[in-house]
Amino acid sequence: MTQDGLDEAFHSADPDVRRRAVQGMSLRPRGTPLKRIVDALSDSDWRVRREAISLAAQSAERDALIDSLLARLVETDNIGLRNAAVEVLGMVAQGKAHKFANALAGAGGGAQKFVVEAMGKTRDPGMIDHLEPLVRGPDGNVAAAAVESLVCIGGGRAEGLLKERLSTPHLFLRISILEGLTRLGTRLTWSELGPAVEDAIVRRISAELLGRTGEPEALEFLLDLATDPSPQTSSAALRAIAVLASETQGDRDELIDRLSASNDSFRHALHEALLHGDTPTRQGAAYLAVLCRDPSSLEAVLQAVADDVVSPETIAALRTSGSALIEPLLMQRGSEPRVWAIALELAAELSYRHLDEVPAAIRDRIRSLIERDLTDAADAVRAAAAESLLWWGDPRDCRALVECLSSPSHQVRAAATSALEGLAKRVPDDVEEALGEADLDGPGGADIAQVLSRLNSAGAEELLKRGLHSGDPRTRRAAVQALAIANASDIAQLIGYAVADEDIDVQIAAVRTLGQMSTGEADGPLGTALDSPFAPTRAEAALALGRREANGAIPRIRALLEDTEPVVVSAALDALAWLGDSEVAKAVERALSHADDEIFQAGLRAARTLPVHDAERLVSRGLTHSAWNVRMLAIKLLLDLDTERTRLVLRRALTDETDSMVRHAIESGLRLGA
Amino acid sequence: MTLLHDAGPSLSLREFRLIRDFINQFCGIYFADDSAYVVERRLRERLRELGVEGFAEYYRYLQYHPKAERELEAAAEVLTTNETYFFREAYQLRAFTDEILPAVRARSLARGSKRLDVWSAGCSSGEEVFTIAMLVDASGLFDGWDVRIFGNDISRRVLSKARGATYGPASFRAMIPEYAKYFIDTEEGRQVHPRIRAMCHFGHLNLMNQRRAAIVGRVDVTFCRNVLIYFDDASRRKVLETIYQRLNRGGYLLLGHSESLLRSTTAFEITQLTTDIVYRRPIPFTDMPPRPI
Repeated sequence: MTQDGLDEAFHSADPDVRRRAVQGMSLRPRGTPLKRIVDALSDSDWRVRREAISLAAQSAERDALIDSLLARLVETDNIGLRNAAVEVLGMVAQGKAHKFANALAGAGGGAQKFVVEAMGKTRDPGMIDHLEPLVRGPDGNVAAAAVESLVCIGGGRAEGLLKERLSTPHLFLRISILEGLTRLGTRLTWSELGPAVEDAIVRRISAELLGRTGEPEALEFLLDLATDPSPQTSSAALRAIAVLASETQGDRDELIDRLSASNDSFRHALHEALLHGDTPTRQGAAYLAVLCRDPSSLEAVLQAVADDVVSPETIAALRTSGSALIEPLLMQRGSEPRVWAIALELAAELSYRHLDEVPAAIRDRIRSLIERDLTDAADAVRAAAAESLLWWGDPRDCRALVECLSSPSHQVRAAATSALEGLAKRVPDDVEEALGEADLDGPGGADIAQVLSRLNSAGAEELLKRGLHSGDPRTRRAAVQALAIANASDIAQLIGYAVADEDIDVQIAAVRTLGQMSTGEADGPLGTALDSPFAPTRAEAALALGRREANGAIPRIRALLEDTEPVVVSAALDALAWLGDSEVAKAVERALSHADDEIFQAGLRAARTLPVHDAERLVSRGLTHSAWNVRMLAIKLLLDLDTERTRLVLRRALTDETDSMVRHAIESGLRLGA
Repeated sequence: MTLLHDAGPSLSLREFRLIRDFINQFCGIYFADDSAYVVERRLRERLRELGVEGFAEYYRYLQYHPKAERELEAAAEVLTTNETYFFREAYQLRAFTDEILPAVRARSLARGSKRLDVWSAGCSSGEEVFTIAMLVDASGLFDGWDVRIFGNDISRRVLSKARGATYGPASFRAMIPEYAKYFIDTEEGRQVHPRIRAMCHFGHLNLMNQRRAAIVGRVDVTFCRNVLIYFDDASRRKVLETIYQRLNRGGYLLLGHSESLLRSTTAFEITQLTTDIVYRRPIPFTDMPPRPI
């Protein structure tokens, strides 16, 4: 659109035309006069104002824009403009605290709070000096706005100011502070928080902070809140109790006893939350129900496990519940299949772990339930029964488990495989006999191969060799891997054939397996694999030859540095570095100017093998890479080099690093080094 | 590997972020760092299936393997929750029946068309698609019209369930009794009536793939409820752009009750209905009927 067209569109009666005009101006923001930006920010349609906010953020006349918006903020009654101005100021006014201070001085109480709101949106710690007197000031509305702004800015100083004002007698302000500290993730001690939450109204919004204290004194208040008629308050309290329970250190048993002795209304709230809460609430409630050993909630807990909403801590707590849980678990037979599957498996595990405490009748019952459920209609139940045989299995079960290996459900096959692997250690002959009739061409061919690899017998080896001819590539791949695990003799040539398999995954498995063999016979097929039409196979072959220290392959691997596929180039570079190729430094220089992250990373790894002085210089280049994972690798390698220069470089990198995980890697690495 | 027992390789934070970002680029779904354990648990199933030993190798598979795209789909499938049910968020469906459908009908008739197109973007196992079809049928407004309701999802598994159109009790938790006539009891569950199924079509479509989304054609109403909550901001914007392109002018967009476009796009206008607020692709002033003098 031409400039004239834009001007006309800007004054159109159709808000969508105005919106697009402002959007068009964003393409050349430097040419848009300030007045037009402010007019657009005052538009009656929110969509035009939103586009104007993006336009304003790009304005070249930053100081004039800030002055103009601060003036409007104080004067205008146009709510749309005021909100837009607050948002724009938040985006452009960092480092301009003095302008806000002047605006505050000239504004009345009503307008001051808008200026304060904009100060917070800048997230500029420089604003805190001007916010501090306002938090202590007499105007409650302004003080609450200042609290909100301190929360937006965050950081230790803002948090300190908020904590200091917790003792304010003004309830409204205290609520604002507590909500702010909740959002900041602040951890208050019981002695800091307790006096501030004596009032019941204040307590209702403080559940999260109470939980975070990790001190059992907070429990009474939380138990009270958990039975609040409002589902929001009750849910927040339950989540907080779960946090409290997992973070309490010394008095944990006492806390659990107190929870276990809690009244019916608490248990009812817990049950309701487990059934109808959102995911975090169900997660917290499940943890508490397990800690309380509440049998009435068991089915709901198991349902939460089936729905994949419980934390690993809850699963761990269930598994360490003790033998008292076994009978309630067995009573779940008849529940929804997934619930029963979990109950059966857990009962089987607990009864095995507490064998001495479990009456023989219960043990027999579990055993017969497992046998029966191995043929249940539901996959989850069959898988649970098969998995239970990891503990309870004996030679009688081998045949049934092998039948499970032909199930179309990978869940059932995986469980049966794991049980058979367990049995292979105890009764290998029975497992081998049962597998003799197994169908390597069926859906479970790969699983059968995995079990066979554990048997370490000539018969198993023969069966595995048969697997190499299976029509299913997954079985051929598994047979190749299994032959290596079984440490079968004289198989290099057979696996060498698999390098020419038509399936890429079989090729890769063969190359890897050959790479691990000590025989020189492996080198021939690996050399062939360097010419595979599949890039991942070429890459794996280069790596395998590098690991085997096959120096004779250096010229051919060097040629792969010209490959069009990054995965091949990076593998070739790794291999040449391992082989100590004399020309690797040259390849490193090229890799470190390459746009592809993987090649760059291979360059860093290869640089690490060069003489220390070169390694320090070259690896340091990774610290300024735009990808966080490349920087992480550079940090790891520099920490590994651990010289005075690398420590200095890392300390400097810390100043510019914005990614929290990368910063943490540098900080913890330097601390450990020190 | 069962619902309870879950052993296998562990996922380091570094591997989690690499895989998470890769999957995000592919289909827009985003996982915060505190979801790492869920991702670890669900992807282990994929590692086992592929015979891959650890997550670093799995990441390389996703990057370089010739079957990587298929695997990305499989990963997205195990990582997404597909729970839905008939007549979800009834107040919104009331707005659809009472206000949106009559408006769409009037607008189509004014264009001389007797066709209704609705898109359920991210339809999961199909309950929403069939709910829409039942509502359209029950309204009586479109008898004799060409009604096409299209649902898409990235998961082939849920699409297969949708095509089967047979559902268990969990899908009926918010069922409205007067619509029971649209189901036939079978041994496997309650099956949607063939007349309703005939209006409904399903397709495998990644919402991030704008080019392929053209198969949806132009629609009068798009339902995209509780889908964008799993996306990051950039992906959300991209999907909304696609939805905008697929909507006829004046076409409606219905989001989940906790979702808003305020931070994502200005392309849609807000329309206040009696029982709900919905979004709409604006109608240019030039297309509007002249105001009465």
